[in-house]
Amino acid sequence: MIKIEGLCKSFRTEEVETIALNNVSLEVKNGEFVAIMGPSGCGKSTLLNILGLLDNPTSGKYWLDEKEVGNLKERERTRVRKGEIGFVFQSFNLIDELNVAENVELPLTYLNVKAGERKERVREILKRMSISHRASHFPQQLSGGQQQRVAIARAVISNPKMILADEPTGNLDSKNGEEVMNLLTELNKEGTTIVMVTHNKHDATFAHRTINLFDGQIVDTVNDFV
Amino acid sequence: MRFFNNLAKAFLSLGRRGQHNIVKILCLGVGLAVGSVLIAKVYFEQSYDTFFSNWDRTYIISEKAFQNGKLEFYPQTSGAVAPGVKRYAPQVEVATRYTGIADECNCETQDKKKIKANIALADSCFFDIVNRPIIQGNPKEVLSRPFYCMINRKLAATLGDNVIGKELVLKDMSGLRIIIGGVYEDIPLNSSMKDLNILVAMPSLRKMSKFDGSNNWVGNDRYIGLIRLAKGCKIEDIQRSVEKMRQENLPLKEMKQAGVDLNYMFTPLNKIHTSDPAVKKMAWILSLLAFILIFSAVMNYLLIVIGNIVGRAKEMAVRKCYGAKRNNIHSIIFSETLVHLIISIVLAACLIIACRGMIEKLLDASLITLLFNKGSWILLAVCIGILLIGGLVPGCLYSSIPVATAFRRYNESRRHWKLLLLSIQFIAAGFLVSLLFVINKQYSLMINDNPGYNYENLATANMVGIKPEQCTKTIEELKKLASVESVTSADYLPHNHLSGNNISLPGDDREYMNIADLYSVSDGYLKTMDIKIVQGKSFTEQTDSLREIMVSKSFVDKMRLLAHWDNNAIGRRVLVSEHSQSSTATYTICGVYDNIRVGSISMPDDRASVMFYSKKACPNNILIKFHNLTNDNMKEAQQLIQKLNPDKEIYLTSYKSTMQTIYQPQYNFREAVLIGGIVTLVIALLGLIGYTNDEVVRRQKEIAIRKVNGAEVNDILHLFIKDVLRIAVPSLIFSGVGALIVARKWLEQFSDKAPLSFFLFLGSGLLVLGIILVAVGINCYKVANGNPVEYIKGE
Repeated sequence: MIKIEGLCKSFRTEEVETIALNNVSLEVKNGEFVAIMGPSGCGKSTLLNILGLLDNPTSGKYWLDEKEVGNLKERERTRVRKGEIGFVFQSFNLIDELNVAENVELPLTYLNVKAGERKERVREILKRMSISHRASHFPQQLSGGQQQRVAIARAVISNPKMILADEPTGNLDSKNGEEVMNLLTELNKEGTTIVMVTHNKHDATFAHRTINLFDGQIVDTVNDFV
Repeated sequence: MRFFNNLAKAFLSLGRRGQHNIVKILCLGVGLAVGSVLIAKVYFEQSYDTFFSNWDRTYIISEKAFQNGKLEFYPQTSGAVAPGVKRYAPQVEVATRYTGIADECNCETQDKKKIKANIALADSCFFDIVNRPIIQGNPKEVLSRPFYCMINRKLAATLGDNVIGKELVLKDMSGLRIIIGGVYEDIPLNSSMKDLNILVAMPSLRKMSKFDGSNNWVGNDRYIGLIRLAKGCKIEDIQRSVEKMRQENLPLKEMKQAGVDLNYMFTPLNKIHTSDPAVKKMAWILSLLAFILIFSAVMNYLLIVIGNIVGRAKEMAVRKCYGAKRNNIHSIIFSETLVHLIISIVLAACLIIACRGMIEKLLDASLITLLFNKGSWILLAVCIGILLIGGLVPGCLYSSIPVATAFRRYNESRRHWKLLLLSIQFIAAGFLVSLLFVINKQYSLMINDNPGYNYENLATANMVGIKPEQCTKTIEELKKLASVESVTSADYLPHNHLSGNNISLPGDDREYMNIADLYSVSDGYLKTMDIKIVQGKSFTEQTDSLREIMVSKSFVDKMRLLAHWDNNAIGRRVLVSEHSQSSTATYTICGVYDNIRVGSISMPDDRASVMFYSKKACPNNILIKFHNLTNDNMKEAQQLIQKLNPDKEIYLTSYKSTMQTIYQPQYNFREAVLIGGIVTLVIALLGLIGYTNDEVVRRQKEIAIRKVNGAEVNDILHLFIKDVLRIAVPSLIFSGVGALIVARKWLEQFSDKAPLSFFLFLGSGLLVLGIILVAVGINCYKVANGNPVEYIKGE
């Protein structure tokens, strides 16, 4: 599904050049659950952003479903990303002005899905995530675990091929974190490819494979079997 | 000391990013510049004729005539009235009268210096009322001596040193010679007497002309009469005396028989100009314009300041942590506002000076006169208001943000404030743009209208002072030019302010109506002017045209109602006052011409008109119809006229440009509203840009999330545009309705009005809406197309 070769990403200011990723190559197969670990500042989130087509590499190649997507412009990246990739963030990143149902249906709105179908799909996913009773509430009215479940619902509602999760349990207590990891595992079992960035070794055990990054380079790959 | 420190810091932090200080100053400066000029103009107009002492006790005498069931008012009286009122009413301290005798008269000094001047006859009491400082001479003495005159300072400066005793030859008045006896200080521009350069002693009249009407009680009512009441007296107190004067001096019985009832009314001189409906409307609209501009500029300032609250909340919280009290916060904000205001005032002054020429042309007054008068106090009050609102309101808002809240990322957007202010600005901009469309339409109608005669390819030259024979020769020579189609002459042109005479019938004492008298026209006039004859024929040399008269169609229509004429006016005989020296000196109607516009659309004269025939050329105006009016053809004709008349400077002017000059006030008004509209729109757009910038900052996380979830550029733009449309559409509808109401009021002053269609207001609203949406789109495009990672990273 994903193949990157010799990926480099550097950030330049007037005085300093920071190399976030240095010649990273990896492959992720369809249906794999991959965890990316490493200390702060090692380039995990940068790698995730590039995989999610939120950013472009400075050099190197990136194929997504055998299509080269490494040097697309923002508009094209949005189009490729739409409906294909779902995102789950550490800080949930829900829109405060929209209620739970409206937050969840966001990707479907941009896929021009009709209102009736949107409503049905939102109802189904909220039921699956066990938060139907909160459909008309606003994010500020939810607990952390509930917010993350809404975020996951939003990420999967368009049936994306891949979910990218950036420290999905980072702001959650252990109980809610466990719930979230179970949800992700469930989704992976259904065939969704998941790439997760985490600090948490326990969370990494849910993945088929753990990639260790250090100073922008892959130093280690550990195969785990759940 | 701390306050001065704050001032210095405020000045140094002008360029700080995120506070949009330059935009704030720009908005305030431009708004102040245009707003203050407009306020100054309104004050200038409202203080008309208040330049002399005791102006509040000075009244102008007008005639109130009831004639054939119609009440008419004339701002002039016969010569004896003003001194008569003083004689009869002890409450009247002093009275004077004056009358204009020449406009733009060509004059020459003994040393051949040529000047143009506006000349009036004035009696010796003129400067007792209009007490301008006298620079040289004794006005009482000068204005009592025939052929002596007082001149104003500006004219005296042109003539050089020591003008007393110098002789002036009035070339346009048959070479009449007058002697300068004194010099007076110029009369200010906001006065009905501003154009008077030379005041000739009234006793000159009996030696100048066979007819001296300066002591008439009836007729020859060309005199502007002024009286000043004694202190403590009211105008009502003199009514009985005036009535006694009427009874003893006017031929009331004969006038009654003629169907005329003549009385007098007294109006405060300063109210004549300000109570004119056109002046009132203009003052009202300009005041509204000034208010909108200054209000928009101040609101924009507040909008940006309120938008900055999010960004500065943390700064203020830190200050509070380190001991800053409410007063300290207020002092910081107040100092910043003061610095911004001072710079804005300087910017406004620079803008006004830079655009001085245009301002003086549009507002028809000098900049110094406009700005340096008591109206400046209003401008000062406006600046103090800005300082208080701009300095205190934001301080209160900053002081009220709790420290903890500020450190926990204060995101209170106060959107409803900002949206309200933005809405007001949209209303202002929409209103002005709609009004501009209406004014432009009316102006186009005025300069392109059909006045009943054709002035295409027509040019005129003023030949006053040239002998009729010389004039005839000039006409004959002009006719020989290949570019010339026809040449004729006339005493007056239809757009002139025409004198009136009364119509009566032989054997009938009644005066049926007052007509607009075009006086004499020479051969070929109707053909040259393309005036259609609807009955009878034009004047011809073959008949006794000197006892013939041509009348307008409305003349016949009115006589049908008043004198029960039938439709055929040809052959009817009438008496015309001033022309008919006796009751048998009748004129026979030989032709009726289609109605022509007398006066202009802005100053209509709805009287019927008449014209007489002159065998000789009428020197007042030569009219030349070219085959094709080009600069070269005009130049050729001009050169020929000048060659034939070397003693006088004669200028050929196209009739079209004369008509445009007549409508210059409407043109100036249009330009003023255009400038006001553009400035308001710019201020509104700056406010809008400030608002969208703040919204982009406030919603950047939301934008990033939407983009991550598949939103494209259009989807993000749609968010902001929807937000702005929610206030823009209702605001523009409201502004359209407001503009319709004001436009209808403004159009009341014109005889012909531009139609106000729904589509005109719809179009102007859509134009403003389009500009607003483009501004939002351009401003938000960058963030809509930006990389969402940048915003999420910040989280």
